[in-house]
Amino acid sequence: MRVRVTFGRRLAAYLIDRACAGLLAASFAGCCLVPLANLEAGTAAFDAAVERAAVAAVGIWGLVHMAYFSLFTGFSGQTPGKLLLGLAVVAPDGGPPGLARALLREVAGRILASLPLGLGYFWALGGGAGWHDMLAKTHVVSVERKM
Amino acid sequence: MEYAGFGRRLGAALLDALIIGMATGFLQLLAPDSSAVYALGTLGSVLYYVLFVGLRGQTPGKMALGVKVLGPDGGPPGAVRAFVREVIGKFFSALVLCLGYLWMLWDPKRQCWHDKLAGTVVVRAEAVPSGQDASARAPVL
Repeated sequence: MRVRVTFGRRLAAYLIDRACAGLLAASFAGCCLVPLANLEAGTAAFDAAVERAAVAAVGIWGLVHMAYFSLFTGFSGQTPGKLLLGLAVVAPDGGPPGLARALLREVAGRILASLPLGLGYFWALGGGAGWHDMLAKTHVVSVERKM
Repeated sequence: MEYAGFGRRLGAALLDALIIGMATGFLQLLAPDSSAVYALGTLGSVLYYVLFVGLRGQTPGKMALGVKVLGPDGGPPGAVRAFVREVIGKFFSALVLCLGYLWMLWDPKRQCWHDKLAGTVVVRAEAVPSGQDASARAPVL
């Protein structure tokens, strides 16, 4: 069964993806806490280790999110959230966007779209493209859900 | 096509857990209390399940026990669907006292919750090549 591409459906897919990528990122970022186990709290060495762990955790958190969105979108056009909601991202030729276009959409495009309080996302409220779609020349289409 | 039974699927899951457990345990022997080793173990486990199931429909444990995961079109499910099954789906299956895992016991298509979410079924596959097949493939001297 095909569905209509609506803002709500896209938002639902995005929230599922953010939850998944967040859990995945947390399980990797959590590994940064391992070296703290052998240090005594309150010491200077502990504080320095906490600072290093925090920087590493933020970096890993960002990298996992970028990898999640760019790899899934680039190679198949569907993130897990879009698969569940029956949506897909396509390049101008109708196929999967490929890694370069996906990086443009998922990293540069999403930063651009979210900067003015998410205005670039709300651009898609009428059922059209968001700024990240415009930048990467991609479209979101509905596909057979096949569940 | 015959759906795979509970014992066979449980056996395959235990075998996979053993493989993953031994590999990550070995890594931790090499470098105890290292962040990188924990992260590598997590990454390795996710890739093991998602890539084996997604691209082949079978993890090594499933190959040994002769079971196979199929997507809605009868082929391997693909990496996205495998991620939905292995990471998101199994999280929910385990959430309520593993009720989602037991669901296949009374489900007509033998689907667990993670199968239903990802649109997959698990069927019997030939476990190891039979003697006849193996001899047919042996080089002729």
